[in-house]
Amino acid sequence: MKKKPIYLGITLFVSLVLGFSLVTSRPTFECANTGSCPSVPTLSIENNASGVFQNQIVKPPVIDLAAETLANNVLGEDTAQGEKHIYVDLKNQTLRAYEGDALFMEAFVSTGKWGRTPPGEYTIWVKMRATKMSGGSGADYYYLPNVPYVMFFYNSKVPKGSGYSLHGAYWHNNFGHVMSHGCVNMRQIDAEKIYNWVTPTTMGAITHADASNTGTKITIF
Amino acid sequence: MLMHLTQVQKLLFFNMKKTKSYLGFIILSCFIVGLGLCLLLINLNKSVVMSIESPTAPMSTPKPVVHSQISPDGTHTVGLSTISDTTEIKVNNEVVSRKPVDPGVELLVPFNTWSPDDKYFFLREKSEQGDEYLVMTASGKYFVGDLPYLKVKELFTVVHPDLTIVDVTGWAAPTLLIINAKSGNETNMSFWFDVSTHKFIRLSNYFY
Repeated sequence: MKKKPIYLGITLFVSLVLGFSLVTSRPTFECANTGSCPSVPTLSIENNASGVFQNQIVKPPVIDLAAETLANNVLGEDTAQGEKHIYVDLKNQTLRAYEGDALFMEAFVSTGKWGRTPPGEYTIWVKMRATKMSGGSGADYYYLPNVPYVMFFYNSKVPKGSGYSLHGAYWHNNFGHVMSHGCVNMRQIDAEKIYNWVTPTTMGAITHADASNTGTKITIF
Repeated sequence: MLMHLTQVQKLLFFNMKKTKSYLGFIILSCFIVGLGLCLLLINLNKSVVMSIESPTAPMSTPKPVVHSQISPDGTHTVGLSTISDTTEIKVNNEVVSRKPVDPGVELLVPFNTWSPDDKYFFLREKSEQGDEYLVMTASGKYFVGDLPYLKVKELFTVVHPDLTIVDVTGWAAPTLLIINAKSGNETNMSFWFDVSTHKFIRLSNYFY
């Protein structure tokens, strides 16, 4: 009986330390698509599948890789000089892409509504012609095959497994307004244009950045 | 029972021999709580630092409203051309509808005019009396009731006479048009207008 308060103190201390460890040990990064996070994204093309968004059936674009490989080989070479950099303006919901001081393109985008698009400095680590994205629950459930022109980016605080990317969006047309689960949505025509411009230079349906083919920098502010 | 409680109280709280142990317990608890608060504050500061980034110089943005607009997948284009006193509404250069020119009313094509499946588009009629929004089919096919287009504001006012449409921003899904509205005491309200059922659906959150 005499030692009881000490035991109580020790028990409380251990409980608090364990509780705090549990709270702080969970991933500090957010996740763009809860259906796939934290798996590493993969190339996925399902031309016969249907998508679901806002409780409506949506039809994904048909992707013919064989035909596109031929088209990409015909594209002209990029002659502009300077480092490529993409700026995403969360307040104005716009994207601007520069090569050195030269503006390559600007477009309306849709960033996070149901999930935050984290501001920061990022690098594209892989780009793929299409992938599948899913997540949410109830009325917010979404299942989206053939998400086109996907450019995944990361930094030291937002790891590769968190699934943030620039990509085309075929399921809504509300660009210039927040509408995503954390990614940067673009019109398909805009996403295609920037996909073919950014580095790593496209080497196939999926291209990883490496020392000789580095990824374009992205600033989200 | 009372006697038992009194004994416990005496044993736990009024026994002077145990005062040191209680004091130690209280100090230890305060230390733990303090340490926890410090670590929490450090963690919060990290989150704040993560979200602060230096903005870059702003540039001109794309025009939100024009007289011609391509669909997001690049397969369809809606365009307006006025000849004499009639505005022709064309999809891929084919006339799908004609509208008499109304003095004081300007017909415009919003940036997000096309539905995601390219089956519908909407136009904005700008006038001093307030904007009207017209939903049309890409094929030129009339809506149920032999209507060449749906007048969103007119339909909305019938259902919600106390509300005013502030903006129609675009499409949330193939048949869902996003409408922002306000009333005298509430400014941020969003609705979906389902063009397949002509119904307005009040949303729990605001689409800004």
